Amino acid sequence: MLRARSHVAALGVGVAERARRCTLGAALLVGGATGLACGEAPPDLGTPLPEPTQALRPPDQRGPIPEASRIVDYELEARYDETEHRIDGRTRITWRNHGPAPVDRIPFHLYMNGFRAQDTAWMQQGRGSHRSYGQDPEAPWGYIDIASVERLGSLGSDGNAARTELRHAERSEPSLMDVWLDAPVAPGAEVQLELVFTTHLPKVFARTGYSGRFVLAGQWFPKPGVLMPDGSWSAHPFTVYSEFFADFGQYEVQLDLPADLVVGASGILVSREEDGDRQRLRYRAEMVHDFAWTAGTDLVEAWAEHDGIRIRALVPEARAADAPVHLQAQRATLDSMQARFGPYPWSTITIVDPPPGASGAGGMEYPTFYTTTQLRPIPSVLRRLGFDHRVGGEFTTVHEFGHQYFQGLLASNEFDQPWLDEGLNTFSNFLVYIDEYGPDDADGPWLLQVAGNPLTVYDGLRLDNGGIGPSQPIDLPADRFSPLVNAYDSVTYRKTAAIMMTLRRLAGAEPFDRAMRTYADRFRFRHPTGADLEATLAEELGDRIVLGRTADGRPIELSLADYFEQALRTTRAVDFRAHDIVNRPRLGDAGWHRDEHGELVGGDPPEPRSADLPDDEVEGVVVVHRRGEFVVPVEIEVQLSDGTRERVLWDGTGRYRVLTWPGRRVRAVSIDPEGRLVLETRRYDNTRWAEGEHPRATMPDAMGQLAEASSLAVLGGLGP
Amino acid sequence: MSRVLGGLFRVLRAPGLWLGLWLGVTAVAGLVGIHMRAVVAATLGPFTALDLDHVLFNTFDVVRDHPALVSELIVSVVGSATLGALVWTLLAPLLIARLAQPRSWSELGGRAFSRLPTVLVQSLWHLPLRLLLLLVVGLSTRTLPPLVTWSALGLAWLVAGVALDATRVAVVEHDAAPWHIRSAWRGLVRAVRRPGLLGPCVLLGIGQLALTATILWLALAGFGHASPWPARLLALLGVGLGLWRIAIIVQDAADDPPAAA
Ligand SMILES: [Zn+2]
Repeated sequence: MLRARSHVAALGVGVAERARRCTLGAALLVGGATGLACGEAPPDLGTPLPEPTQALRPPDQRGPIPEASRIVDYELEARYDETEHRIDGRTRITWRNHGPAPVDRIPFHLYMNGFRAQDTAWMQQGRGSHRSYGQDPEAPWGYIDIASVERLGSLGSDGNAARTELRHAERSEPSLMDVWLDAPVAPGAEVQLELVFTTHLPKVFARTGYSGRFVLAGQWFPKPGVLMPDGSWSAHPFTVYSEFFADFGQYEVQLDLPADLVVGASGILVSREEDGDRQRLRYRAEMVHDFAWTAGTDLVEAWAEHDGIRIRALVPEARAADAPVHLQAQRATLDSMQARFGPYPWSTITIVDPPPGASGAGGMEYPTFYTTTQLRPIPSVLRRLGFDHRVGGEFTTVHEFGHQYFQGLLASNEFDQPWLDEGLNTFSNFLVYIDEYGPDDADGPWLLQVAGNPLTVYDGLRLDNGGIGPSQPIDLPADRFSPLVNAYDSVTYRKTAAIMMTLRRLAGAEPFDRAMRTYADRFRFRHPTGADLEATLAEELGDRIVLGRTADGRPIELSLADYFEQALRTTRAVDFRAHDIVNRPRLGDAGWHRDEHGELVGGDPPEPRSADLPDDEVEGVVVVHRRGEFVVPVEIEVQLSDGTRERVLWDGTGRYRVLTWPGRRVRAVSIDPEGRLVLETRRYDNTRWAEGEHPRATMPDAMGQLAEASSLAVLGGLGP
Repeated sequence: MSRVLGGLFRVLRAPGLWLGLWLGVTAVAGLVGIHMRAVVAATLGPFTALDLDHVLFNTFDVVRDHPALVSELIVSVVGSATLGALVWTLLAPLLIARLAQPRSWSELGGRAFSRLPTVLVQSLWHLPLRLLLLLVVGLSTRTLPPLVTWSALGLAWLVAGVALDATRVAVVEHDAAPWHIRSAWRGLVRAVRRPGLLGPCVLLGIGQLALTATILWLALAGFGHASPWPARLLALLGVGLGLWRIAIIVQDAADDPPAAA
């Protein structure tokens, strides 16, 4: 508590100092462009809040927690040596066999070993870099070494547990280790193991490590795999795109750190003692599947309370002004996600903005604890001119908190089906934006503004997905995505969001949101699979969603199974094109016909040109082309010359659909006018005007005017 | 102030010059626009409709399939800028001679034509001086925040512009040494030493930059639906500000003539 106050005071000085430095810039008539840092009042960092006494919210607020989900408990003791960047640790693990058969071997994840050498599975793919951050040549390697594994038996007469040394061995891929039990654990029984380990942290480039005195410890201790219902183990090598998969349980963690470091961690702080130049902190986290912590100097604390949840942000002192933005984004995300996916069950959330030099730690989620990224605010003078974005650190905060649900709470297997985690989360992030900024309609909130012109969330998804091409299907294990193909991010995150958004727009927001709530309620504190999601949606929305009817009354349906099959397990693209509009003379009776006597009569000439005909003698024809392989129903809107608009639903089967309007002239056609098919990335060929008709605005005019204005600007504006 | 007003009267007494230059600028820009329209129309075929609620997406969507449209736009802008630099240099003696005093067509043409080579040579001499000035300013402000550095460089650029015009006025109207770098140097010294000259001219330069930014902003904000006339009228103002800047320098030189060769 004292520490918090001293940091707040230090911050006040820092901000005042910056304000003084800024007067020079202001004097140069450019002050407006320096944005947040200049001449503004110190940011509101809230008042330090007492630590909750329980790691979970009260039972009436946190929602149900199935007791059977508690599989593995940890007691961890760790001492951090910041000159060696080494953690000396000991963990006591209680693991329950909830499988169908006795277990005599437990595989463990040694994630840190992914960074041990160039030939680990992680490094073979990652080649020493993650996102845009590379290994530091001075401190490139991270690893974890297991000194011993013992099985603890029942207490002896001396009060100590009997100990049996167990055989353990790393696999050839060192991010995995096997421990052989001396005797099998029967179904329903539990085993207690004690492991002594040493973890060496790399200079941070891939989520975990140190930078100067800052440290972010993630994936730092040995973790057992997950025993699947069929008795097989899920334990995967750590690869560049695979994240983490573990069972729920209780964590009691004792950290021994230099006394002057500001510390944040998963769960609640139970106690803190200072002993000379060290501090000993005890943390508790309940019903979580991982535990991470951070420590550093020059971190400013900012506080908020929302719905009884204690929110604490740790931001670099130089970026203290960002803290209120992260806190606000956090509150908005809590509101949206609790309303949509059920209550957040834990009593705390800790946000960390890693300091300069430690950006490789940014943008990662751990239970009740996550790292965000730096805000990139647009200077206020430009904002007033309509230039702005919502895709910087604010979005990272929304995204990383979103992981508290997908997969902190709905703990899917991030290795086997990363889309359930990153994809559903990205989808929920856009829902947060819809809830926070609105509207929830065909346009949606903007992500980017250029001179007041918005790029909406749907536009953003289309653009992102349009860039990837038909590269890899969504429903693949993480290690099947190659960094060389470079499709993982777009496919797993944004294409998944686009298939969910498309389904929401087709099925209707209200029933779809209800179905997702059912999924979230049903699989809290469990390990849902893609099949679980598909089955829940089919159960709630129906296997076949009726989207409309043909002229003769037959239903036009969207088969969910078919939709998911195409969307998740193929690379088929949704792509339609307005192939043609023809206004031709209506079929008449000119020419020679036989009369009742068998004589040829008539012989009138055909109508020469439809342009000269009155509308009722014209037949308007529209030809729509399904260019993409993805078969999905689509709406077609036709504008007729009498000013009316008609909509026709096409089931999307077949390559072409020909629509005719006898006695009416067609002015224009627009495929998917409401943009429900968010999966469709190319839209400009969806609209077409008949020959001789002129749309309200055209791209040639717009680009021509832009070119003319640019020319005027450099020739006339800059002048002689 | 007398320089500033004197300069303004000189511009107002030459409305034909102002309007003529503007008509030229508008015609060139109009042609650039027509060319761009034709290229985009030919590229897109029947799919030309612009969705006014999603102009950014619509544009990215089109450009992703037809990236050459971006290079077309860049060529238009860079081409216009190059043309501008060339034409304004070639026309400089004419503008100066006209702003200096009313002259008959033949006298004006004769002076403009005869002084053109010296203006070109002095413009070339001016280049290394401008680079030197930018280098000095850039190096001496490099430790300051980037915004300050860039603002200082921008100011230096505008100051150099005033110096160039002062040199041109000296060789066109006051018989300064036509070929010697000394004239370019004296123009720079004159500009820097006369805050009463430099101040208004730099402010007018900033005004021109603001106009340029405004034209571009209007084009983006009204993408696909704005009238082209505000941009054209702002260009008229831009040409006027440029002429005013030169006229102030002409006035200053008339009041206190620079040394002749
Ligand atoms: Zn994520």
